[in-house]
Amino acid sequence: MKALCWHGKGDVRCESVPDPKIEDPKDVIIKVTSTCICGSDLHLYDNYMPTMQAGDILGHEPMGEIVEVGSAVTKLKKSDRVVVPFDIACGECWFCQKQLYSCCDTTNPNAKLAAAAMGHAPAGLYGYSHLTGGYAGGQAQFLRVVRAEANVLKLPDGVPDEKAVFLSDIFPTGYMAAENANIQPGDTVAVWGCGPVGQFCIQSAWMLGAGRVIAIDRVPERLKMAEKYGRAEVVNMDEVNVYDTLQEKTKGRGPDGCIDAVGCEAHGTGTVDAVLDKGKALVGLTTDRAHVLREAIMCCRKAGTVSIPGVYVGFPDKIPMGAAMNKGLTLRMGQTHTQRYMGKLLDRIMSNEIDPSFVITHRLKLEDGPAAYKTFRDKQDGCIKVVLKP
Amino acid sequence: MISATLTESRHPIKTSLPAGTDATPPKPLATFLGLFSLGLGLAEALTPRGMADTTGVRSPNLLRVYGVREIVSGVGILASRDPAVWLWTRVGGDALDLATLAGAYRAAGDRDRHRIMASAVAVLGVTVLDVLCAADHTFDPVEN
Repeated sequence: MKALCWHGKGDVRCESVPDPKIEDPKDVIIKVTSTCICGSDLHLYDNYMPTMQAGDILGHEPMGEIVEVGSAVTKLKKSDRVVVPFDIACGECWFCQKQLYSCCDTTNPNAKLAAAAMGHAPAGLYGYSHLTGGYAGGQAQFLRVVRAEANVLKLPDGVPDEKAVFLSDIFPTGYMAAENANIQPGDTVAVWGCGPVGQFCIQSAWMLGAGRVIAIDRVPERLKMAEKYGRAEVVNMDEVNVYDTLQEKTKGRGPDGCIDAVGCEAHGTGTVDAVLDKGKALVGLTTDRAHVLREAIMCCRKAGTVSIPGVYVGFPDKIPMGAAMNKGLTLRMGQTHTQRYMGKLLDRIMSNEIDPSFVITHRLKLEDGPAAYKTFRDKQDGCIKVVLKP
Repeated sequence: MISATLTESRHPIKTSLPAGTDATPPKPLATFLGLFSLGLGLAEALTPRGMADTTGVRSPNLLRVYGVREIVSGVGILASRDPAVWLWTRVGGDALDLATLAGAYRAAGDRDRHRIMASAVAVLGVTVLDVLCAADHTFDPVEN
């Protein structure tokens, strides 16, 4: 089959690789019908995530049609259309029983390595380094889905791929981020980053009762999307001082909830801390460029909440914990417990409350993947969300 | 409820990328030269007397200035997505280094002349790499 394989910094290739096989009775194999490039894939593309190996298959936002089922699979059958969440749960461990699926204790075969790096091992993830299990990813023609019945969302007839595929990651991620922001009716919520996850944070903030949503970015087409589809007040960080603007908009109190949908590769144009981050990252003195997290902590109102769906990978420097502590902030974060949200967000799609396909800017062939990575990373050609059709 | 509903007028979805969009893998020589520049620059800026002993060029203040130049070039190469211009600044720096070594050779004693000759050979070697890499990035630019 064809698959997008990682070969180093900025080096993704569309290659022929062996087809996946059933390895466990609980596995299924799907023929991938739609798969996306995620913003967090760019952390792999830019080589920020350790433990990648040449030839690793990328991708963690797939959906498709079941073509083979393991002997222990009873509730799924061939030809079922399913969405595959990016995190792999067993459905049985202490964490899965509490619906903390991305913390699953059993699906990361490299748990010792991950525990050495993080204290404890998170769940296995598709196509996201060997620290998270080394599972082959979904930017491929076929995918082995592990513990299928505990994870996949079976789609009813009539739901098109492009409305459903984002249930694999970015829609639940945006929703959980908004939930983590502890939004109360009428709250003002600020969202840093108007990439796909940021767009779903904005949508979800409204769903959870926000009174105002303020979106911050530097890319005009992303701000335009936030304004058009998200009805957000937009702030271009290249044109104004973000802290001053947010305080002005909230009469000096600060936003009630602040969402960092950027993560470890923040730009922070021209700010001293962002320039220092970039220099330190170049010579290996920091793993993450945390400008947005710093800014969110500084901007958030006293006793407010900072929610972090943006991915951090290691040891970011100079996080203003003094400000967070003395302002009484709540910080909430984590990989999304996708399985917890897929069903109820599908209900919202089916009731036409939201059509997630509004984020799509490019629909391309799998062979276009390497160029699509570069285009997406460099924010060229108005690229916000790429759906690949293997 | 405010959300992106089916009734929104949608932007068109693109089904191809602009002509000429490629995904050529990065060229690691530029990264090597950037790190080399940074390392050499730090050595010259922070330990100019030690570098004067090594190279035979007995002008620590000049070496400190050259160190800053190397650091700027190194950061430029590593931070830039199109490092061609920064690579050409290295080529210019190489020419300056060779001129400086030639000047120092005339005023040096026998012991320093050996060191200066060794330094000149090293600079010439790096110059070849710098020219090749700068030309490659100029005529076939890719992401660094």
